[in-house]
Amino acid sequence: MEENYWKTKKSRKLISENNEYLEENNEKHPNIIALLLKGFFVLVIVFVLFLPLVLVIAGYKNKTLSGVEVKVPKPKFSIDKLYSGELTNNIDDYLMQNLPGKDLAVNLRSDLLYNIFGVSPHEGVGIGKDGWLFSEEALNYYYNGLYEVDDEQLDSLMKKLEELNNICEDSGKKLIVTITPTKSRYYDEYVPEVNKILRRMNGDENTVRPYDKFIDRLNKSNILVFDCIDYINKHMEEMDVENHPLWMPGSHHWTQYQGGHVGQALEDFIIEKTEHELPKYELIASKSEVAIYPDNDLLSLLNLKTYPKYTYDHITINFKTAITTYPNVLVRGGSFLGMLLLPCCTIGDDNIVYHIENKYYFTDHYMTHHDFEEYDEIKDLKKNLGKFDIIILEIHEMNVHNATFGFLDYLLENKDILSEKRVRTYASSRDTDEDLEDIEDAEDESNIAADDNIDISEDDIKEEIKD
Amino acid sequence: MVFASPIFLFVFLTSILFIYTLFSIFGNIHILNFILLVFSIIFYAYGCFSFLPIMFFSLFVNYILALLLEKYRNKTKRFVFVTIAVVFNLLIFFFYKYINLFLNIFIDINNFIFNGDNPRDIINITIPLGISFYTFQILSYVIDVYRKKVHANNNFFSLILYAMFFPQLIAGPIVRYKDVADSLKNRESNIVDIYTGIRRFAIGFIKKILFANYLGKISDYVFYNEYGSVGVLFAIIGLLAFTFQIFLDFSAYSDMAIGLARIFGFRFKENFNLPFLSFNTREVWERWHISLSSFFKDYVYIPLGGSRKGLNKRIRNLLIVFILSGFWHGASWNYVTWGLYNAVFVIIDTLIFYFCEEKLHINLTLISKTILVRPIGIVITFIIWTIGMILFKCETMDIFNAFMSNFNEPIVYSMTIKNISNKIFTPYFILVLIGTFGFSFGIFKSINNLLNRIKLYIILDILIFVFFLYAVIEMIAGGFNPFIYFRF
Repeated sequence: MEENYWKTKKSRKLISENNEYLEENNEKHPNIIALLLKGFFVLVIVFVLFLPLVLVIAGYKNKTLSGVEVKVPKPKFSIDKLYSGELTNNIDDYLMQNLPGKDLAVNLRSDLLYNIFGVSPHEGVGIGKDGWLFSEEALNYYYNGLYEVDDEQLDSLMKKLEELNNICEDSGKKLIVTITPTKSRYYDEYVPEVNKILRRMNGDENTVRPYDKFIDRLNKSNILVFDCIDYINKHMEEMDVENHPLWMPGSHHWTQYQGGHVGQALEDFIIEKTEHELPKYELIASKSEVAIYPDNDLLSLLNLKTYPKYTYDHITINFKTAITTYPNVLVRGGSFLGMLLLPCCTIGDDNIVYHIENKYYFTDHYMTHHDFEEYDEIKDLKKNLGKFDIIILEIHEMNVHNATFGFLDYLLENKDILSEKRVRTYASSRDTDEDLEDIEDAEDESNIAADDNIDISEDDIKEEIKD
Repeated sequence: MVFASPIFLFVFLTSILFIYTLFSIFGNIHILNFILLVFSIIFYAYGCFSFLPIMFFSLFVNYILALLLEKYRNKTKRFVFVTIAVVFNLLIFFFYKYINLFLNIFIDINNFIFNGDNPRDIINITIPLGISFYTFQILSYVIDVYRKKVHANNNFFSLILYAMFFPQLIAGPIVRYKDVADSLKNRESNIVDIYTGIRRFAIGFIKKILFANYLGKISDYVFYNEYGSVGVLFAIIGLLAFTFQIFLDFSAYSDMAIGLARIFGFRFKENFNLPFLSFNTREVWERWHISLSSFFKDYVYIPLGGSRKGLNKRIRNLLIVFILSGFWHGASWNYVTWGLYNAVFVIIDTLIFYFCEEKLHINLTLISKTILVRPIGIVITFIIWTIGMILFKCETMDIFNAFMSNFNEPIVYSMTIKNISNKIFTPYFILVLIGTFGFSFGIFKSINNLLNRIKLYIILDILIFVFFLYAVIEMIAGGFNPFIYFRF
């Protein structure tokens, strides 16, 4: 009977009223322990709300987190901004970026998601097998058709490259285009399965990627091309990738050791295909558990408190060259350029070297770092455009659609300066005594020309050397 | 300023809690009201400074009209005053909310008739934050004074506080003056109120940050997909994600509003009552956004005659109410269509009940509560409601067409599917599902009641604290996705 009792509407109403009574009763005559517990609950919640203020009072300074983001400037008050709502948006953005304790929140969240749920705390980083990390953007390029280029885009790119190549050839410069690879190409077995499944479901397993179309066009042109991907494919064994990985589990970029190995091969290529002398060096790797940039760049983006342990290749560079005068070099590329460790950018006494990577560049043989937004901001670049002997354009296979980040257009816009004739006026180890004499003469001629404002044509100088 | 933001949590809320608590020692209700008023004005000005003068002016006009309604006994005069109030408030409301829409309609018609090519969106008036809630709230006050349900408030600042009280100012619930009139003059806020309020706020915060936002990402991937069909399964997943997201989002704001009000001694009525457990669409509207549906019932449906003037007029009144409700939700035709869609099913339910109960003398109300029939009704109603959410979500025909193409075009295994898969094929999603179902179907409420009965609510309090802390961390850190390097 009791069982059925509570099922009737009347009894349910009574029970519900009883519950309300209980709540009310608790409110009117709460017991002390209940009150204390409630009070404690209120206090801990309120403490969380006051935590940033507590940190400020305690003098806590946020630690710098890994990764770059656009810095939000301090909001400036103005009536206009207040009226339009811009001021409050700026305050929101500024506070969100600079909240005291943000670093603690980021670390804690990352650790919780990564270590407990096995989920990437960063939207742009995917976690594959055995904890291998991949840039989502790179995965989408390699598996999901991101950054496709159509024939029209390729035609336009090739047209510009060929035009630049012609200008370089006419003015005694050498243009070299090099293509750098993406991680998924060599570590497919670690890639998050969803990418491979999607590609299979779409029947895209044999679809050509932008790289395939681009390299095909490049190989049919007159442009000097060094395909890093092709090189790696042919020299895997020699590169001993088992002991010295091309990529680390926690990196987006290839390792400095293997990138440097490929960089040396690129320099050998330039030496073989041009008349220029370039520095040689020996790369020595030593193993260490200390992570070095960029071999843990993706991992560090996660901003974990504790990181998985890996063994990294620390490199030592031994230069093997004695000659100190080298060509003027202009190198423009993305972030994969840096790992090529091009010695031509570091060595030399008087040569002009510009290493432009993403939105920063190095001068003085890597001694000085500068940021820039527009190419015209790069100090003396325009002035020196005609003086380069070698121009290297590094294009990552993922960035064919945005090759050189507008630098190609910049060069072609300044083709008048770029077209300035270049004659080698420095000695190379392959020069004979006669060649050296000619170079000296050519240098003297160019000095006289500079001093006396006499017009000496390139043909004259070439004739001199030939004779 | 939104509740789930660092500026609100760590600056605004901490400041008001501190100052209010400090002055509570004096026990002077006028000082406490003044503090709440100042903070409410700051709260609103933070998001919508330019609309403040109009709001004050509007409040002043309503204040005067209410006093006149209180003063005069003459029916004609009182009718004139209330008409002025209704027209005045609705004019402001229509101007800010619908002028863009109606101008565009006028331009479209003009272009059609005269073969013209005049551009749309020639003016772009910003809709003031919370205008939909605030307008209806102040209108309800004046009408209630007219109906003599409440006395006019002769304290202007007290009236401003009622209209602009920050917990419910921008996202409801629509609070009736009679529910807070006494609290404005005299209220208490003891530790149980503060505890209940903070607890409710924390629950709302957890719902919003951990569950609603997560589901929102999934639904956005589906509805704003640019890469071709995602197929039927993922389309349904996206739609379900949106259905639960909109409930969790909206009910979370109501929880936070009710919780915040309770901290300061105000008791707002519930705004949601497990609408997914409704037997039919009619019942959904008794459980969903209760403050809005009761507003339309009291101020539109009943004055039109309600259900007292025959079946035809009842249907007509329902149609009008739901069209207006659709319009209220947004100045866009998809909302009106959504309103009509709901009207159709409410009318069908009404007709079914009418014929069963009045003509066939079958007690359908009782049958609908039986353990065999009720679950069937709940499932069917949920499906009907979910399908209706397509109209609610698709603000343009392009979005609608793109979504519907998922059901008849071959699937493209694109980045969209990858993004959705990354969100759902993860252990974290299990937590999201537990939270979603727990809140949406009353499971947590039942557990809460059970633990309360056996005085073990401390277990839930611990869980609430842990999840609240995580939700705060997620709010701060969730949007932090830096790059390795800057690029062009």
